Amino acid sequence: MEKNPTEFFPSEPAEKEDSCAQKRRLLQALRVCTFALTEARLYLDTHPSDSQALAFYRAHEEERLRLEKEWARLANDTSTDTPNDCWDYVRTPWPWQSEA
Amino acid sequence: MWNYDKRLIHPVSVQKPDPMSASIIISQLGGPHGELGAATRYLQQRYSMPYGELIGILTDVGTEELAHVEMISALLYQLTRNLSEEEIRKKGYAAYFVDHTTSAYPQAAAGVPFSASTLAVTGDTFADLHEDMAAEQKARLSYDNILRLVDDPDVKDAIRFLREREIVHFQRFGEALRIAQDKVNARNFYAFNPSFDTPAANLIQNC
Repeated sequence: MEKNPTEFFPSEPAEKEDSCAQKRRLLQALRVCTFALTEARLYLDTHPSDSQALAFYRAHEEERLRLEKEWARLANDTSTDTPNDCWDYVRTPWPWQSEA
Repeated sequence: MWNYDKRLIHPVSVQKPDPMSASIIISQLGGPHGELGAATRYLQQRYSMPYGELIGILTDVGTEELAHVEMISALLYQLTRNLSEEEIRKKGYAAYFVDHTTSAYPQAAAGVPFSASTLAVTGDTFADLHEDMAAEQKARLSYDNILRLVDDPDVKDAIRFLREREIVHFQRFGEALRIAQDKVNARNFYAFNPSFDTPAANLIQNC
């Protein structure tokens, strides 16, 4: 609960990495952050006035939005957002088809 | 209403196809303790719940169960891709294959198609919440049994995640039950149904 959410994906990696590794790290961070929010949500449903939990939720939601933007930029993936030339949603792999 | 995130709630990455495992894991898709049943149960129970906390938790857990349906389906897809006819025949998957090929049809491992008869939506707050806690335990036990029957570490990783979620949901429903108990009138000692209170209230006053 005390962990700073921006630790999920620090802008400066620990050591040099290629863009593939960076994307993997970002995707993992996004997954972890989104899941933290899912969990927090369930907890808040039965503890709606817990101020610590509310602060946790807000901090992680901010982080999630930052990570989504970063992902859109890095992966050039606009499948969840406003499309450019093509409706990527139907062109990118579906979750059960990818490696991970 | 629902939004869809094109991402699994937890990664599923199976390297080695295995139709035998698929024929067991399918029970958590369409079986009596499966994720589809859980999602249906919670999402439908919420309409007759009397308190916002209960409706909220049923909505959110129900939605997460749909994400679990997707994970199970992903497991089935990855366990049954690139199979030879020989592998299908040898591994006892043939009976499913003849009608469903390698699709993700909701049925139990024993072949019984998914049915709402395996779940209850009673409209009685306390009956429904106890049903939900039992459902999470049943899902947990089925995952325990799957872990006994499969060996692949990639498969076990996904199954362990799903099993842990059932335990967390059980806790949340326990809290929901406590909230409901705290909210009923002190005269409603035996916790009669607060979502349809007129007959129950009469009953309490007269006893």
